[in-house]
Amino acid sequence: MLYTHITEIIGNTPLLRIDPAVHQLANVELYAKLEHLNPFGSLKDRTAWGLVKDALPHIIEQQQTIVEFSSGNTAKALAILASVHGLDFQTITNRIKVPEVYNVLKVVGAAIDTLPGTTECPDYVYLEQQTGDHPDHYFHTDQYRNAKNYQVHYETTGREIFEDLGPVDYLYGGLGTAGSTRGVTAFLHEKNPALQSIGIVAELDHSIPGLRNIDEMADMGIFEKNLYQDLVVIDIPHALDGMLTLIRRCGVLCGPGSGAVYAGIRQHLQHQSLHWTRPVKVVFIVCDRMEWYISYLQKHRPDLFDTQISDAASIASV
Amino acid sequence: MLYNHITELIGNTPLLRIDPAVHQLPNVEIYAKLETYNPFGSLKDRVAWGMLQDEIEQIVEKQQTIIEFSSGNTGKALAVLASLYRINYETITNRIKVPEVHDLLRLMGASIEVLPGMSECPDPNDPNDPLTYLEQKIHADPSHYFHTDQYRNVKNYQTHYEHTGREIFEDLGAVDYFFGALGTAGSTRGVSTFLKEQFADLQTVGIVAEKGDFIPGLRNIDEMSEVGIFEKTLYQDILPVDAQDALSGMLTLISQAGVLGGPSSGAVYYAMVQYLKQHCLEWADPKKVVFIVCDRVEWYLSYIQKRRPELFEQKVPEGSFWKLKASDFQHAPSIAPEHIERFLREEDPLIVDTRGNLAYKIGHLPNSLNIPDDKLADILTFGVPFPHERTILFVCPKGDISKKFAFFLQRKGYKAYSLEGGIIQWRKDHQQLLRSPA
Repeated sequence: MLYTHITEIIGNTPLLRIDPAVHQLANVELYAKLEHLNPFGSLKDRTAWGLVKDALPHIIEQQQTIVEFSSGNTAKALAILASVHGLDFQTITNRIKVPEVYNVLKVVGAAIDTLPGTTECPDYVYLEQQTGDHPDHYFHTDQYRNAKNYQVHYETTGREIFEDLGPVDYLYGGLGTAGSTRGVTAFLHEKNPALQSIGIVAELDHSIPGLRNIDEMADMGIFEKNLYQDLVVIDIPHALDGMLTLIRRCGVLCGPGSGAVYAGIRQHLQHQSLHWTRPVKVVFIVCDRMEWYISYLQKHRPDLFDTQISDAASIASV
Repeated sequence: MLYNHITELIGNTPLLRIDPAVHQLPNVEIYAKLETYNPFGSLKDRVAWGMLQDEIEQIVEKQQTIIEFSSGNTGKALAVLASLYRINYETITNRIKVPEVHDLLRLMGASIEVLPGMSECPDPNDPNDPLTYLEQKIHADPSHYFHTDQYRNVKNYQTHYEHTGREIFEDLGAVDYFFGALGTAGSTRGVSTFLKEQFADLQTVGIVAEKGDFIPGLRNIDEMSEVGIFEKTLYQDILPVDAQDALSGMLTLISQAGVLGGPSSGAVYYAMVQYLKQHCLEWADPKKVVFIVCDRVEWYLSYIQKRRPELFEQKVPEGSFWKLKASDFQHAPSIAPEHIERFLREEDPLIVDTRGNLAYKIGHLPNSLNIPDDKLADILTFGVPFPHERTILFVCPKGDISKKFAFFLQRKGYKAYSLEGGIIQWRKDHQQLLRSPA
């Protein structure tokens, strides 16, 4: 297919059926929405483009700097969208825990403003101080409170899933800004009021990139707790096991957040699906790619990286 | 779209028109084939699947181990495919120069066997050459292995002929110029053959790495002659690019086109724009130009950090070794083979072998010490670890990497030289190489 701008390639991602031999859940048809195949590598490509698209002519005319609270995929997508339109992008974040993520953001041209603190919650006071004298120099995309964050997933991600599958019984989403899960749920719920929507969050003190823990969710403006039939809490070891299953058994090269969602589905459905009398359609979202989480994986699963180096003598003797 | 297996997602990649405001060339329409869109992240997904597809049932039945000589994207794709079918994959490689690549291959479940390769470049006459080693290993237990053999397997380019080339033609019609990176040469050969059948005036230009410089995925022109499926007559021109220019091209693609390609894609883009600049003013009508974005940027961070530390707000000392341009060091002071005896006698130089440690262990010049090139380059970023009063002789496989070191130190006022022809020439002339104890 021929395209004339990289933003045209955002969205319309594939939906992949996961082989039942892999998930081993009775009565379950499991489908993965492969958002890591967006051009910048995550579902946040849609979000970022949704947040700036309509305002872009104005932002360019005013030569505003786009500013956002993000330590990951939203910042990556916004940085690229800003730079292809000749604009600056600044992300405000507390410590970025994965060094490759920081480095990729630098490569794509983001200015990174690092705040002290460990929670992943946006500091609006700080932003006001920064933009104080010249608020018109900045365009704040405001992903945590901007309705466009979930609207774009309502209009595109949710609709695409429905067009591929028809009515869906269960949707599982990792909760970060909660935008994608909310948008997709809202659309699928309209089509099937019996839809069960389940959010996946991280265990307290378990840092899983892209996910928040249950305490942090309370701070999110667009998080609506009553949207979810259940929340499943996942720790790092299970998230990484899930990730490895998706990579090695399904060829889905996703990051730890997606692994957590997969692990959450297994945990949540394992027992209840045994009692079902008909196959149930379950969808989850693969949020982002694995390549920039290597140091995170090395830290938590050093066993994966052992290697042997052939001894010179043994080579010469072959 | 709904799919039942990840391999169904291989291919049918987007073709993106690059805005003329980015390349700023008159009379030129540039299109990028985004192979980054393949599910495992590179154009090698097609190659790996193309080489396995017809055989996979048999491989599974016999529980064979897939084996390939690869230190990059082919290894990555084969590792994922093997693990999908629950069989083993083993990658044989020289030094993997990008640590993330090594880590990702491990993560996919590949077992990695690192070989020194006496020369660190394919040399069929050398029993320690990786390809020779690979063959011997398979020969010892032929039914145990399935060798995909990307450097000689016609399926490597057939898959690009049948798919990549056809897809480009279906999107664009006749193409005037095709620019391809030369590694195994499979993609370029396949695409260019298909496009040429549709339009006989197609010009194909190959991009190689500058000798002595390293760009992941590209070979230099000397190394291309060792690749079985490389056909020189296919190319109207072959252009060398160095690492710094490759990174400039890569950053342009990322920041101005939003295409997250890696260094090899940057190399092609940079060389292509320079080349077209020379030619396009003479053209009367617009030409259609296509190039391939081979793989993604995310696993090359350490490579980029070394060569562009300023991107990461790291302080860079003046005149970093990693910043050397190929044009600088091509004329570095070298000692020709016929003068080496006298040189060694009269100068009694400090001999520094810049190959990997395993290659050094197998065979080195008498009295030489070993500092692998990437380590030495890092050290040189902060200071010179050699006495100023000694003459220094640098040794590498073929006498190109050593030139860089000789040039760099001469510029700093040292008496430094490169051994012309490297270890390979020395071995031919003298035979005398010493082994380290096991």
